[in-house]
Amino acid sequence: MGPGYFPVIIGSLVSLFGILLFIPALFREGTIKNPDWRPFLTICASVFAFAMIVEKFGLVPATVGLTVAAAFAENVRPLQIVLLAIGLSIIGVVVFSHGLGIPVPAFRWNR
Amino acid sequence: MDMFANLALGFQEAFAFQNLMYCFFGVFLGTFIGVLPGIGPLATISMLLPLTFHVPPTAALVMLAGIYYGAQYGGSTASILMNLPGTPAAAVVCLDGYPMAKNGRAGVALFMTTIASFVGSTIGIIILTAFSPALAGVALAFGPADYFSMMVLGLVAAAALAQGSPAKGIAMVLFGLALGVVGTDVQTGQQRFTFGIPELADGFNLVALAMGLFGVSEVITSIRRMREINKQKQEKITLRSMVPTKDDVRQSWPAMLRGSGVGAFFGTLPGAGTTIASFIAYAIEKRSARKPERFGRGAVEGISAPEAASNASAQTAFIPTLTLGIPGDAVMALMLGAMIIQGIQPGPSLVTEHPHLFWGLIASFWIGNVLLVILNIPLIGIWVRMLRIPYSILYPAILLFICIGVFSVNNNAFDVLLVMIFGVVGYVMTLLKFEPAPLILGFILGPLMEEHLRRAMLLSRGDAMVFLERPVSATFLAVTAALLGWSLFSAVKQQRMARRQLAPAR
Repeated sequence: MGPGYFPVIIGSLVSLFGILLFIPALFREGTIKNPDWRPFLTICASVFAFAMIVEKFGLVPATVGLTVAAAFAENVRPLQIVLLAIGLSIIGVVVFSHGLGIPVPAFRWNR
Repeated sequence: MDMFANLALGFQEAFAFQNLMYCFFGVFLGTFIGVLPGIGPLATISMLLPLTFHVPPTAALVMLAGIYYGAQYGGSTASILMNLPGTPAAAVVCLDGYPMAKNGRAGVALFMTTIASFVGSTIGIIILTAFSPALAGVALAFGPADYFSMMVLGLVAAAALAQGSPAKGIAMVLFGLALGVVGTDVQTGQQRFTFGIPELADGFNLVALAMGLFGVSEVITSIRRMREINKQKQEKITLRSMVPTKDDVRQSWPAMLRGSGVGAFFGTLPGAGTTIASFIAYAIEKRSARKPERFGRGAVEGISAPEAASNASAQTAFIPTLTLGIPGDAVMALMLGAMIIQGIQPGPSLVTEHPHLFWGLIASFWIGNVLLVILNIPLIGIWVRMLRIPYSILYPAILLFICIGVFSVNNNAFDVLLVMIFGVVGYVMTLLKFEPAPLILGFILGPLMEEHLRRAMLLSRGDAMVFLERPVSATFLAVTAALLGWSLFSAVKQQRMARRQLAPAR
């Protein structure tokens, strides 16, 4: 039983169920729910921003990027964004870097 | 009796300062997120999983468990005060809890739900303590083929009995199994589905998967929901008296006992979780009441029974998880994941190989529940005030914890990228009404199942019939087939009924 054994079984079952779900659905009427585009895109952008920033620039810039991007999901006043970004950066550094000892630098100057 | 010796060992372990601290932290945090709508025990446990890597296993599990059953205490607070459940299982408490609050009896409602939660948990723990070792002993005689079939049954049951269409549930389980395949094959060292990406050599990060599927997609859906909720005016709450009347107590205690029984039973079934238990308990109460019209208007049994049920089921959910290694729902799957990461092999041998962990955990449930009663009755004012925090402050904080948490596992931004990808997947799944819970179950059980499958095939020298020849394995597979058949039958019946309703005039 090589390494391909289990994946092939699972793969065939997945395809089978895909067809099982797909075919009857073609004959059914239904409505598709409208996605909330604004929260969806902004939150994804927010996580993406963190992922892209944190390794090159450190924790604090990444937190700021995350907060700013996430703020666009709702109509947030600019002052609140700034305060939130500062507050979360402080909490992040205190709780994670100092409290839990996680090796994430707050700022990274030399790349 | 042996059980008392074990319990003594357990309490000794649970009262150790570190474990006690983590227990308190867990139940406190659990109550907190249980009270707050928009974030639940599942997302919180995924967020704290990275923390557990730096902590000894007993303390870690005590904390995670505390979050889980603690949330069941807090969930009904928002239901009663705002007609908005803090956890899914607390949704049914809205039906009679909110009317009670409108009648000025919010304090009594909050008190009775706390007591009901305690009663339910206690009964659940008693059952857990009494039955686990026996069950584990039986399961020790299982061979790899039996384990495999048992896991198949567990996954199919979870998919079929959980919410949503069973076919979609099974599809999600399979998808989870497929995702679990990604990585390096343990036996041959060959890379599977990694496409040359080095970060995938160990497979998808469980934390990234869980946080993306549950955390991120829940934040996305909650934003719109919270916006609508915050627009509602919040009722003024006076908690001058939480003392219930004699009638309340007389009506409630049989309801609590019935609810606990229902909850304890459904907690052990894979796929049936706290939500189903609380709904069924409510339905039973209403149907067996002498004056069912009282329900929906503030009947105290309407909150006591479901609360007892959800808490009892939260405790008994640990039975299959700890004794058989079969998680009943996504939260239990994450607990298993936490154990595996700590190097503990779940299954029947857990009771005998790690008695400190097992009995310490059970003892911590007792202690945690006592702590919860203390937290929930005198400190209820704090939780009420907490409901006033606007979601626009909470959700960036939640996102930050998710991102840092995931990043800290491997110090690797790729994992955070995975969170985003799985967040998209999770959100699309929610839109298309695919349940994410079976996916996590499949993902965690997948590698274990494959190991048992290969071992069984090795022992039988390539004979696939071994799964039907061994009596235990055959029984499990037969029950699985019956379950599949029944789901198919009821699905077809539903479709026929729906069609009949749409075409009345013939």
